[in-house]
Amino acid sequence: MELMLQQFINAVSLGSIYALVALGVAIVFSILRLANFAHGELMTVAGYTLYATLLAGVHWFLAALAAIAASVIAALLLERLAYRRLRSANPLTLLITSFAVSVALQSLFLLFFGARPKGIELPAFVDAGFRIGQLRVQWLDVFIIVITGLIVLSLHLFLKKTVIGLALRSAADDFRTTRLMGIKANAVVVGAFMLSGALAGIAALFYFATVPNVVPSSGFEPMLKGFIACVIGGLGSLPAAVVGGFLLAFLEVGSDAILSNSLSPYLDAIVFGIAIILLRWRPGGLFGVRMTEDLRV
Amino acid sequence: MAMSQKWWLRALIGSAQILVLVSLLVAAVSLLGSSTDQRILTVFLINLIAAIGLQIYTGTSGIISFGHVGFMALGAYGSALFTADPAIKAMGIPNAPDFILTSAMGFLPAMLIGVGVAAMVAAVIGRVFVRLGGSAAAVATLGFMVMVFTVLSNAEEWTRGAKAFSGIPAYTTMGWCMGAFAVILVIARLLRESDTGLGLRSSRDDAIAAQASGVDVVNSRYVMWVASAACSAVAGALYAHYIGAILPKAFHFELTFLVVTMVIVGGQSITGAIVGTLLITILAEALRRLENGFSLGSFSLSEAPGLTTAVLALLIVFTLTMRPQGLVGRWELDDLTARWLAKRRPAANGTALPFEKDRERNPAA
Repeated sequence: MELMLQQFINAVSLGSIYALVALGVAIVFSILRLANFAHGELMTVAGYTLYATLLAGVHWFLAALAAIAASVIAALLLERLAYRRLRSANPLTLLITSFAVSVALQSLFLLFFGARPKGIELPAFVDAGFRIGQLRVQWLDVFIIVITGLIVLSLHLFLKKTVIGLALRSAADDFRTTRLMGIKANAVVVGAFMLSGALAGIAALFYFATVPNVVPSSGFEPMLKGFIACVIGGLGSLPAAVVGGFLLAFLEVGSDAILSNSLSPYLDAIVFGIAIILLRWRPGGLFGVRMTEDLRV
Repeated sequence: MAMSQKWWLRALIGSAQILVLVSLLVAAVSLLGSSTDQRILTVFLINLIAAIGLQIYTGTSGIISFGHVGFMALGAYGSALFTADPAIKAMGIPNAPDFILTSAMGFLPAMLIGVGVAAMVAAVIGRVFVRLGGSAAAVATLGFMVMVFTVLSNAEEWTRGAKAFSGIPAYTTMGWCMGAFAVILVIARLLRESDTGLGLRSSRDDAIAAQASGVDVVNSRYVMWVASAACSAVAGALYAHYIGAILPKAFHFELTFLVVTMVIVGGQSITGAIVGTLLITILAEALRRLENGFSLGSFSLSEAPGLTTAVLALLIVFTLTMRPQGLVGRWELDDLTARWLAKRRPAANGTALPFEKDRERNPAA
């Protein structure tokens, strides 16, 4: 029973990270139909910022803020330098461009920081925990889950209750008509990338708190998980991204618990395999999002 | 005019034209080039096969796959396991099943085993992937690539896991590469010009209209998917027997990026894949030489491992912003030569310049 509960907390905590990544990916995709593979590199930027600031002895709270700011700035730079010129290009070109941007950024990290892992000096409270009977709960997990809940809630309120949120939602539905209503296209896109960057930054904080070292390719794994979560849920829908993220985490933790030790190294392969089987029955994702131009047949 | 030819004749003429050009290149480098040049040429031919393999699917369906490097890995390991010296295998992978430990096959049968394994895996998972399009397909196939990578890195009894599997006989010669290239080029063009390929190519412009005209989009994609996986596996096998030692990390993100880029930068035709591969190979080689050749003050570029890839990636972004449909668009070499001939002899050929206007009207096609 305790073990089950323990695993449950692990899954929710992991799912929170995946959901944040998936949300960041989905916000940009919903508006631009751009699968931003460089989203993982935004997380790596936050990771290196965290490493550098903590090494310099900055207070952890300021370091966290700096990390989020760094990934927001990186997201805005990407939009301005790489994606803006291609906004009307066909989806395949956009896809390859984001892939190339991701590879270029990884190479730049390699150039500046080298291939060796940089250990992040986490503050001591990350390891602290408390007990309920036999159950040992880490404060970090509680923290991740609560913050993620707050973020999802405030994002929901932001999108439903503010004018900017309305503009973002209508742009996701029909960008052209939204522009005809007098909404500036650049404002919407910049807003989406800011949100996406902030979500990447926060997800990176949580991710690097659990895996405390950063290498040039650090962002690849969470990015891929976030994307798979989006695809399982239904690419382009924000609630689907959150549900997909939690589903993927439960699949992962559940398979890990059930599998024998000899199979556990294959965890990623097995989880992706299950995801692919799910797609066999629901090619548009579990929520069966409306088939857009590039998704039909 | 081109349409009046039989489809298979058109495919063969097109393949022949490309083969002549590539043979001239190979002959020139073999006669005049240094041994470094010949090494580059061999790698170029292997990459060419990988790019054509991917183009069989992407060029006809308009759907990108990031998973074909996974098929290359299957081809490489499949072929390597059955050809390596039993004495080496007894040390490296003593716990592998007997039929692997004892086998010491020739190149062709072993390669066919690798290709068969890849085709079988493609046939099993293909039903899922052919239903996905656009970004969903990209993500799911990337997931497949990581699946293959995870399995190969952990199946230590078979592959030595993340460690290099070495002692693979160096069978890959220029002759093998040219032979495989010729076969795969002809297969690729035949598939492309066949009714299945034509129908599928029409679906990339408008899937619903194509279906309404009787094109079975899902099944056509499936045929192309399995064929392209098999051709990618050939490239993997050639690579393994050229390098002599393979590890799962070689078939990961970077190679995926390279192959996909070759295909996208070149355009949507088989000719496009070849042009893209040529361009990327030349760029990568030039950058590598530059990297070795100079230093900026105290900042020595030879100690800059990521630079080549970074510059390559930026050049690709630049190329795509300038020419989003790829360098040659959807034209094949024989389309272009036919147009050139028609231009030269407009009087002799009543219906000249068939697609000049078409291109202006539809630059994204």
